[in-house]
Amino acid sequence: MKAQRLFELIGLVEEDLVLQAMETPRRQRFPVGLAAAACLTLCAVSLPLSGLLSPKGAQMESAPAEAPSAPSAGAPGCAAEEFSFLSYAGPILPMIIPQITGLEASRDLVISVTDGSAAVSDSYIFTNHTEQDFSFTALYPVCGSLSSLDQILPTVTTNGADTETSLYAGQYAGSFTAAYGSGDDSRRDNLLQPSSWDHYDKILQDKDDAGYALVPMADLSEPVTVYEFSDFITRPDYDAATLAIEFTLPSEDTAIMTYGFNGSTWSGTWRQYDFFVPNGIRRDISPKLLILMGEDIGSYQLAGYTDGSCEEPLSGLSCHVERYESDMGTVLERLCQSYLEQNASGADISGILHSDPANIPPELFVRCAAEILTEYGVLSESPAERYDFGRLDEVIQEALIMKRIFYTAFNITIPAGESTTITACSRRAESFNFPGTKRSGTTGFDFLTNGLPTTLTVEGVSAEQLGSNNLPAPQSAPTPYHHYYFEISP
Amino acid sequence: MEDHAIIDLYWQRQEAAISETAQKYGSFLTALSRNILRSVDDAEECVNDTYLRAWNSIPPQRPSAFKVWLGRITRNLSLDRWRRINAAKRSGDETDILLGELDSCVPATKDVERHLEDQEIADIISAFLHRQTVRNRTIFLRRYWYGASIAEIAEGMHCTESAVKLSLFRTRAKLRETLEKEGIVL
Repeated sequence: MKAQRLFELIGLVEEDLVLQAMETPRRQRFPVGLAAAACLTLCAVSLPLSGLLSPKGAQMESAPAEAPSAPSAGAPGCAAEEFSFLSYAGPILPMIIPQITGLEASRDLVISVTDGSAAVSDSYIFTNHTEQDFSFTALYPVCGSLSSLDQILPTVTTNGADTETSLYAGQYAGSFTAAYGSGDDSRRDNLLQPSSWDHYDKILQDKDDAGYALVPMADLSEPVTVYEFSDFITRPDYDAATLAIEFTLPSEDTAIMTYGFNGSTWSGTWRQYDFFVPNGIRRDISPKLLILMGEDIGSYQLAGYTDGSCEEPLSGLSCHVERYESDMGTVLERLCQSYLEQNASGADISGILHSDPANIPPELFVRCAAEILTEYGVLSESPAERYDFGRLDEVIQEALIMKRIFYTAFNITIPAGESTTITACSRRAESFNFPGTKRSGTTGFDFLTNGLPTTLTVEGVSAEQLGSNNLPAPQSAPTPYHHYYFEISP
Repeated sequence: MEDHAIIDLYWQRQEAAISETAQKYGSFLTALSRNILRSVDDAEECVNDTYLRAWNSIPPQRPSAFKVWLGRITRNLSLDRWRRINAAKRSGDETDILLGELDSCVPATKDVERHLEDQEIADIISAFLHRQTVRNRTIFLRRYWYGASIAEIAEGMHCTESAVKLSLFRTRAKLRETLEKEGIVL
């Protein structure tokens, strides 16, 4: 009864305290207001939009053989802000090619809309009017994440024949936001994935994303001390038996990272990192590592507890602890590889993979994880709150889900006096609103032009279904690097 | 609609006051009540009773923080209802667990006892909470004001459940110590 009275008394505490505790996180604003279009039938009708862009080709001025640079995308004044969906798939981006004098180029973009996605055929026809061969490297960018890589990657053909490609990853295209109740907008607790063209526009405009993709990953050769835990002995009468390693932080400069741990407690320089002891019942097969960059901890205590609160000691728990020295890159590579292997064996740990793990290039996985660790994690100069506990579990998993631009690179040779057609075929998910939300059922696609004379064909959409759009008017002059979109009414 | 405009509707005895209240705070109050009762139907009844209490209390009252004021009514009604439902038994539900946790805050009886008015004790608790970190205070109030589960708090605070439990454990211990120092009897 006294507890109930105390509960009632707590109900009378200052209103400001109560309001502060209920502060909601800053949510991303999704502008709405586009009227839902009518017309419900999905027809397999071709909507020819050919000749919408200027027939005059962009003049190519030089012939460098080195890798090209990214386009400066997003023309001012385009109506991109009106293209807004709760689930934004990202734009169809144009091929990145160098400017070469004497080489004429045009683009033929076909978007064939089917149920929930579109087949995109993006062809570039190069004609060499000179008497010398032109060779260069081109990049074809696509938006997505490592977790869905095999659904977004293009196949590239040269005059119909398969072309050998290599893959590069740009930087995380989103940002971070404050957490629920933090009351501090400067905090970076949550991922804010790119949810509109603006995000990609920003990364293309403000940062050399393609250049970033082509340079080697961050240097992770720094030595680390690793404590690896294995050969667990648990108590079958305790479902949540927990082991914790407890120690005193040797130095303020020591960075501590963990993998496979479930909790941690910090008090002054005292640290406790704990994990549920694998019992053969829980799906818990990931390696358990404590990684120190900097001064070693020296002595530590391994303590058993009845559960994850680590309040009631429990005897009879033990494990083997192996200490070894390595470097951060090797550790990260091992953890990424381990994650892929565990998923490949059918043990779907997190359920975040939409691709066959075998199709995720390990080197790209490590690169994306290294980006988080060095740009936003404990190895960065200013760690985001999201990663400041040093949990590599989040780093590994979020390397897979962070949306970014991937660049498929390939070499092109245009013989003197000849024409060559390069075609990138890929599938593009639709942008959509979730059921029950405003404009549910309306979907859309958006794309970017790059100044080349472009023929656009949209298939699978009737004229009646074509909703709000800013497709270029026929015979209008092309605007280099312009963002276009169209919506499809349900 | 702004809170003061809704309160004006109550003062003008316009029934739109109820619908505006429900529209603005209905989901919040239902969630608050459901945290205690763990039943949507019971929670909705408590929320409807809250609107009735508000209608009967305004005027003469003019709450300064309307949301918290409504929340307090819902909270008290929900606790009363929970008591009736769980009379003479320990149900072992989330609220039972929550109240069990608060048992550890109840100060031991001392020789010098102070029988204070409820609001005076609440002011002491407020002062105590002001002395805590924002994080610990937020966790404490989400648990014992809003009745949120440990898992919900952990998710909202982006930390582990064990970290939430540890924070609550420490804050409860300090609150008990504070109440005992004040010689308060509940």
